[in-house]
Amino acid sequence: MRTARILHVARIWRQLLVQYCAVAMAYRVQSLIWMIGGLMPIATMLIWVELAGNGSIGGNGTSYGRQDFAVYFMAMYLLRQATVMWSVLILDRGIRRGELAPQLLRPVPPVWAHMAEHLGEIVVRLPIILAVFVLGLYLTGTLGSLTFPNVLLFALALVGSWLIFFHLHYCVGLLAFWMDGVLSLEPLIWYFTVILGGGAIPIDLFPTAIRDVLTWLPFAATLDFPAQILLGKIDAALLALGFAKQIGWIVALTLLRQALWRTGLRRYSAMGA
Amino acid sequence: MRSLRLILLFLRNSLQVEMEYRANLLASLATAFFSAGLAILTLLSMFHRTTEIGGWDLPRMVALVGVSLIVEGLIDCWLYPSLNAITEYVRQGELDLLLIRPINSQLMVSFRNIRIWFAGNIGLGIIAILYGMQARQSLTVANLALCALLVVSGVAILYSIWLAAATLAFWFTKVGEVSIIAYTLMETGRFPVSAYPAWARFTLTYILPIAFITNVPAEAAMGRLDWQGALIGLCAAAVALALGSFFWRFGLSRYSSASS
Repeated sequence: MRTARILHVARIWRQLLVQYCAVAMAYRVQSLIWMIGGLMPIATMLIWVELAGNGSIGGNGTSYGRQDFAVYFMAMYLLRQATVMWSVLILDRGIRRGELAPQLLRPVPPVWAHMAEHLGEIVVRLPIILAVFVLGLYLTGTLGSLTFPNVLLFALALVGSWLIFFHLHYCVGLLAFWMDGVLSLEPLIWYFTVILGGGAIPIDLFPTAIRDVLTWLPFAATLDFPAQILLGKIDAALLALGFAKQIGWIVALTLLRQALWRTGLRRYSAMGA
Repeated sequence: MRSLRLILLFLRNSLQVEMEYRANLLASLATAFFSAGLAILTLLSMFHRTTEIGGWDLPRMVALVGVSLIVEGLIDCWLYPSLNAITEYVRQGELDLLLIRPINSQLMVSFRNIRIWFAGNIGLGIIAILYGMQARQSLTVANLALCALLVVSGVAILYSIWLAAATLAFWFTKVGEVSIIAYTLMETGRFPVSAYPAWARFTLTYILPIAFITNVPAEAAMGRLDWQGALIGLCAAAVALALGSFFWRFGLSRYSSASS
């Protein structure tokens, strides 16, 4: 009975992924434009590399040379490209225009379909993203500084980041049950993520008081933490703490998402949709 | 003259729509406040570790951020709602209905949707520029006027690039969020071109011309721009507008309407 259920879920997921990979392939040009938009961390990297010159910029007990900035911001590039989210758009449209109603009738939870839609896009983009990532590291002469365990841990943290981002955006999108203008919140999430997550300045280089606050926010857990792993700058204790924070945020945001979904859906059906 | 009257008409229509969504004003002000706040936080934190960025000190950088906030405000209230709709017109076939109207199609798609509530960043940008000018003792009417003129020509360049990118929808139907390119440009433009390595400066001046969009107006505000620099900025805008308009008409000639 239990294995039958697992097999059933696995079949649904395979179908969803195949379907949404095909959708992403159909809209390749769109993906390409998106990827041009993702080049920003590389521009930021160039600025910091120029600023560091042949020396290094220090703060809060660590210091970053040009090689460190190169690895840090190439990691930012990969992280931001692999965690692009448009759930706010999907949910806003789905809830306000009623496109959600037919999805509710399907035997597949809408959140699975939304997850699969995002994953399909990543599958199509991943080869190019990885190529840019490796090329960037190679051109900055930092490819050799990566170690196998660090890359592996980075990949693990990337999965955590994706889950946090997905739920964060999903929770904001679900607010469409109550308000009209959720779309205008999207740029806000984006600004907060980029600046408070380390996308413009590595978290360690913020003034100490600000840095101490930022390390506890979900943005640092999703961007700065994995980048630090790739840099190889953190010890085992900080590594464990970082993963613990990630898991904490995933659990908290999942619970929030489920609560918002349940209460929102009750309102939604009450509206006669 | 007729064009101007039409633009005013579009503006009035948009304003009537906007009056129905007054809550957006609050969302917009919050966005403007946080984005400007985060930009200043970034700047101050960077200057916590360094004394200049690409040769620009803090007041100049504040003025530069001011210019980019103004341009971003214009993107939010005008370029984004108008130009981003083009690909949807094409995809859903609405463009056919627009083309049969007896007015210039480029004019219509360019000014049809204006969301005045989303202009919040413009005000904060002006404050930032005035602060930078005050700190540099360059606050004169002449500098201010030249800065305003060059902001307009910078926006004209951005508009042309965006229009050309949206025109690609005639070939690819769904080009999606072209806006992402514009936002990336603006993020890049928050820094002086001189802060980038030498090999990237050419690209950022002539291919992705953030030099003309943000750097040149900021230099004008600081009174550091000579007349040749100003002239080049204006010429670049004229060339960009001509190319953008040409590409739009070219795309239109290749457009095989939705129903055929």
